[in-house]
Amino acid sequence: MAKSKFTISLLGFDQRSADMLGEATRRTMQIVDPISKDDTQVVVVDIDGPEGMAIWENFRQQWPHMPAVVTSENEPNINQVSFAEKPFTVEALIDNITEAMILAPAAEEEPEEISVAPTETATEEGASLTPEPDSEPALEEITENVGESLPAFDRASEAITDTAQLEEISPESSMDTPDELSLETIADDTDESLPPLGEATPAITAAEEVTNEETDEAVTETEPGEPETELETTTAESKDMEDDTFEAPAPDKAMPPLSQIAGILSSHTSSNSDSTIRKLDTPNPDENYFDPDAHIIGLVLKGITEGEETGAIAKLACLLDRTIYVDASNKRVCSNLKDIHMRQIAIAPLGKGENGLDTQLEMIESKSLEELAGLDGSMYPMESFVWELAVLTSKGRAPKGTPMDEPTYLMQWPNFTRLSVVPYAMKVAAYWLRLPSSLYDLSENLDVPLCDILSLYSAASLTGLAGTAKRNSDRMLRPGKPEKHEKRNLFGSIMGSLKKNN
Amino acid sequence: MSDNKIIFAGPPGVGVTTAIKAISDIPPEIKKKKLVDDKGNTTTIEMDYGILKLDSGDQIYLYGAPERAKLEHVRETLKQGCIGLVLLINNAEKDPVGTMLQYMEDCQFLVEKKGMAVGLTRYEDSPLPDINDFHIALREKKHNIPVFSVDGHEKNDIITIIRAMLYNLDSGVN
Repeated sequence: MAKSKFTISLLGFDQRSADMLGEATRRTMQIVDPISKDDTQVVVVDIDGPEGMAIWENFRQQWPHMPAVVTSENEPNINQVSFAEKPFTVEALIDNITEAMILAPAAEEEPEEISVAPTETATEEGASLTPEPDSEPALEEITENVGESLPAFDRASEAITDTAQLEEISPESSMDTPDELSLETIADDTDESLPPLGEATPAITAAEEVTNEETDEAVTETEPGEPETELETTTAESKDMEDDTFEAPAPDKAMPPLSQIAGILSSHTSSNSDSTIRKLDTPNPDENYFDPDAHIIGLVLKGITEGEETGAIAKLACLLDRTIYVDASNKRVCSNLKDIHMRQIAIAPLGKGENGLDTQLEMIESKSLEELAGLDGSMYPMESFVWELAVLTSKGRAPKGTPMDEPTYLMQWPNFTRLSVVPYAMKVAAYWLRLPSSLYDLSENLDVPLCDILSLYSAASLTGLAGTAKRNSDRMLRPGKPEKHEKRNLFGSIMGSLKKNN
Repeated sequence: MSDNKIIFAGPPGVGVTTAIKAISDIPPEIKKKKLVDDKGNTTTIEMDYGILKLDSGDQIYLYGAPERAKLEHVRETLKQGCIGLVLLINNAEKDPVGTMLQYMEDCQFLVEKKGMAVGLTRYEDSPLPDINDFHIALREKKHNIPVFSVDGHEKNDIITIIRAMLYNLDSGVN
């Protein structure tokens, strides 16, 4: 099967970190578990756990020739290994993997598989941290050998540079036209066109073959030029291309698969890689924040908390005869506020001054929301109401105390079909869900104005969907530009057409 | 010429045809596929079919997957060029979370390495199970996919769910 991804194995990672790394590198790497002589190209070892060094020693003893990347918050005293300091970007990890392949000595017979039971073995056998001089050639020697045995690393580097330049000159160029098919596109299409060996019952498979022809002729609903007809053409093209498709070699520890590296780097390069940082250039950093407790949203949130504890309904009288009822138990809000009122009450500070909003929270027990609100109120899902109030209150700012440069998380997809629109919200959510990121990083890596990021964060955090990331695993990866899908340009066309129809 | 597809799937009556109709640039059609078993008995599988025409000249084919029992028979037709799967689940039916997971298992060949999004119909009428329950079930299966409440008649809902699915495949899309 044609491959265009690095195949890596992970050692010493907790499950969450491994999942996160797998998600973040899904376009460029495939994680192989356990380590396999045939399938693993590079092993990435996290040595920051309590048994980290023992895991490393045990691994090196069993796999002395396997290319490896060691990752840690602090550089360890290990010779001739590629080191990835945490937090690292996916791009940096790719560089490390490439370096590890170059650093690794020639392959010899090694175990077929390793099960990760590291500590005891390593301690008992007293594995050395420093490789034996005889078995691990010096860096210069390896580099020299690589240079001799490879078809010119420089040429591969040039190819990478050329590709990057091409994209820079013509960022809109379609990756989906046949002339510009990427390695991954070809590989994936080829995979898809292959027959499903052993997946369908023989009887059904045979029947499909017969009736496919019948269908084209007998069923008039199928028009010429539609997918069924094109299937054969596409399959034929894919098979033709299969011969030219790069076949990833069995891992040869002395020879980095340079054409593969070039292909992956090319497909990984973002066309808008020179995006500018969009931090708010405000003279007073406090202007990036608002205090929810100084606005009516603070009272609504307090009413929700009390309502969840007691089952009572929160009542907030806002403007003369305008009222908000919050039924936290049933996650509903009833209010007779119009849109214009919502905007007014959201931004008005609480208080009795001229522009203040003199609103008090009152908790009412044992009555239904319908009975309390009467007939002139509209019902809203509580999440939608709080989300909208948060967006209106935020005005492109974050809740007071939000760290702008610390990782934050988004727990799950907000129900965007029922929430007021925040620009770029779905684009940001898709990225943020995979990789906890600081608000600055989100803005920079997605090329989205910071004020839109802060509005989204305000709404998500005040509805309980976002917060500050505190786990160690959330600090392992440094967010970078989104990985580029081979059909990005096609997706962009679909987005454009859908937007026009919206 | 590409044959890129977006597949819509879900239990009978959930609104697959309506969803395709909402965004298709042609009147939705029925695509038929005849199957003959080894005893010579024939079965016809019907699939809803529409087209989304792009400014670039490309077309995205919109397919309504048949019921679960017949999915395997059209596996290759659906898989070829599939961009992603929009799974529609009726939240008013019994055990909608279980239905979602069963469909995902049956559509594994579409879920793997493709995009996916879940649309919950009749969610406003039947808000239990909560949308969070779907997310919890998906997280247990290590899926982090969009789950939105939708009305199949609402074009904007269908557009939103497809956009979310595409962003989930590549958040760098503009």
